[in-house]
Amino acid sequence: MKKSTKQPRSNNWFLILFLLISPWFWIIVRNRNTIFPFSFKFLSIDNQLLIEETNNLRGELLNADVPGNLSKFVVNKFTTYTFELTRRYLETFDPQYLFFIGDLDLTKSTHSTGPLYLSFLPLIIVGLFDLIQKKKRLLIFILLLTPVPASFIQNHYETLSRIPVFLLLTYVAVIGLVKLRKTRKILTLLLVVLLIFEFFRFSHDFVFHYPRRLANQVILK
Amino acid sequence: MKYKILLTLIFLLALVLRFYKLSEFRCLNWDEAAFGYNAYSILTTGKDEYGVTLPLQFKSVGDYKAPLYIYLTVPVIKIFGLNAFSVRLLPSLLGSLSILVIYFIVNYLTKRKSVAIVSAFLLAVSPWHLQFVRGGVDFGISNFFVNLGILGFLLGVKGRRLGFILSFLSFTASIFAYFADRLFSPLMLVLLIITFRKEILIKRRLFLKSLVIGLLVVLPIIPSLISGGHIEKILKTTVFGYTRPADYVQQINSEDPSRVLYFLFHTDYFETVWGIINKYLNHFSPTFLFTQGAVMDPRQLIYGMGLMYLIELPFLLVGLYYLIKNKDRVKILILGWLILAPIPAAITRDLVSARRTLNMPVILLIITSLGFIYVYNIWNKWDRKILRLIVGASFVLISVYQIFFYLFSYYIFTTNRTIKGPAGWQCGYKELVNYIDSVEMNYQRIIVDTAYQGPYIFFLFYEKYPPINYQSQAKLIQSSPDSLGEGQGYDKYEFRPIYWPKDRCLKDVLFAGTFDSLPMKDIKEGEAEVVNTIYFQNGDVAFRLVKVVNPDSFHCKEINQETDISKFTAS
Repeated sequence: MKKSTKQPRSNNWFLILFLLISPWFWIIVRNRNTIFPFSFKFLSIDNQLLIEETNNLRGELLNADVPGNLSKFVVNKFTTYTFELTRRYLETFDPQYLFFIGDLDLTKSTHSTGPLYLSFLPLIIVGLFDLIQKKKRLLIFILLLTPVPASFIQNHYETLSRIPVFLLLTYVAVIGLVKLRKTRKILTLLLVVLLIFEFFRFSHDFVFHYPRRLANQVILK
Repeated sequence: MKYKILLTLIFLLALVLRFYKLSEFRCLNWDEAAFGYNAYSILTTGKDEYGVTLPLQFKSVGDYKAPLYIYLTVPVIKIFGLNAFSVRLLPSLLGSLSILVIYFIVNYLTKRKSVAIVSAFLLAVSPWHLQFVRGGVDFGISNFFVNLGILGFLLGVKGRRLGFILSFLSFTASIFAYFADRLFSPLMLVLLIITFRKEILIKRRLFLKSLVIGLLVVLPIIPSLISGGHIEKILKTTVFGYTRPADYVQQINSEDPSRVLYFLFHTDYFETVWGIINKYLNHFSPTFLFTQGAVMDPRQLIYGMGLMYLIELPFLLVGLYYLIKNKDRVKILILGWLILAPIPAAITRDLVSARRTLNMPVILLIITSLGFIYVYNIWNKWDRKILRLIVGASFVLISVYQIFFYLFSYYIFTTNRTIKGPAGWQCGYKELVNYIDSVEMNYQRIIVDTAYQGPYIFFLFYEKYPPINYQSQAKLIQSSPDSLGEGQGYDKYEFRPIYWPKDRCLKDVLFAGTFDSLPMKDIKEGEAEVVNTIYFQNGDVAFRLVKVVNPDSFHCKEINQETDISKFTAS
């Protein structure tokens, strides 16, 4: 008899639950009036800072008697721009961003936790293992593709442009939880306890400490 | 035969990259000067700079340096003299030899020469490895011994008689060489034992004999591990000596409605553990590895890139994928090595540290090599020749580009940004000492500002000041128990912060200060004059040398009165 490949309905409930308790979700709901309407500032290849950086570096190469053509090959507008895009792309997977600090702007992160909980990390790893084993390459491919729009945003570690990544990572965490529940019951229990603890820690900070930090930022601005 | 030729070529490349402009490129920093001078002191007197006979920890600037590097440098200094080359020779040489060690480790683990040769090549051109083994650093030495310890263990498992002995002696050497490896080496050893427990059981007599020899060799260092100096070092560098600012704790307490919440979410213990997890994970961050590196510390910085080449990232991911799929137990060793490597750095105070994780690049590059060969085999089987050619050519082009960028960054961009100050490469001291040496007979005292840290060790180093004379005058001044110290001075030299409003009353004194401590606007004509200026490579002022010609008597009288009053009040 052919096995059903459909995900059990509990997965959907877990996904909804995980999304509803996620820090990024609550911050955006709380500060929606400040955040929206939001206009993204895109990083263009003609960005003045990038051009200055390119010129500075090339100037340094010329001062060091590096042949002009070689310095043009190594440092040019295109390479500087590509590097900046790659940098922003990879920032998406920075654990400090995802689990500890979040967006540099306090209106989009509490800075006491990232957009996702740390307890998601082992679940994401298990989920990815599971996807690799089951050869579900499409999901991994989409996961690698979702940070691409964020790479074109001028601000580093920008959160709104990375929401698709959070959704997908949360989904992978759910896959991990379901997998782990079947094989490692005690570990699952420990992770659930950690998740509950993290949720309460976040809620506590969100209610008692975050408003002061946010107010300080507003005053500084 | 083909692999032997390739390995020889890679080793030669490693030597060139590690020895090219070794002594003249990049100024000596105070750690290097301290290592060199202490080795010189041991060579000439058998004692360290403070007069301690053959110590197993060197107090130095209050950072209690591990002993092995200093003792190994003694014969080098005997042959080549006290200079930058002597200090940097061993890390560079052992760093080059690491390439051979890695080749044999990977060859043993994977039984594939192709993977081993790629690993050796990647380590030879690794920015992370080059950054540190080209400097006179203890962790460059230690890293070699850790690798040799792993190789020895694998040889022991294979049945070579001296394998385990080589392994235990090398791991012990790493414990004598660097503090972080006092944690990493035992952990790695445990991992090796777990992985090869079956083979060890068969060869248990040889294993136990070697273990006992290793333990006997490590015994002498145990008293120093529980000494005050070692504890001071641990408290200074790790999270265990860190106390949160009082106003931060007060703020938290004032905002929390109940003490229960404070104990649940804000205790020192909890925040320390949370911080350790954060720092641990930071070392796996793609930002750290591929785009930024340890950006906070200029001496660890490679401007405009991370510690690995971006082109390595896809191969690293494929390598991980290959390892996960693989059911070989070598997988446990490789992944375990990767998991253990950042632990010493995670318990220190820095958010990321490339030097405390120098055991990481080796294993990351081994995984990258696995990925590379995996991809290469797929690429090689492609039927479409044009596509194969395009992909191959693009890969070569990007790789060449990245290696060129790295070399330019290392030799030009990074240098231009890190020559200054205590956190950088501390340039300017050599020129300063050379100049002062030529004029010191004209002054009664010479006061050197400590803003750039460690002037005393540079003067001792470049003057080759006889250690026997310094030992009786050595005194370290620490502004707080948490900070590193400054040598107070010797003969006519005094090393301290220059405070010009007061110091401008001192006659027959030559002042050597920075841009900030001796600002031009405060050096009034007729009262003081700039004798000389030392510049950085980029033309900025490194040191200004000033002497007082005619002190302002009215101002100095006031200053003297103030000093008298403050002395009286204090008494």
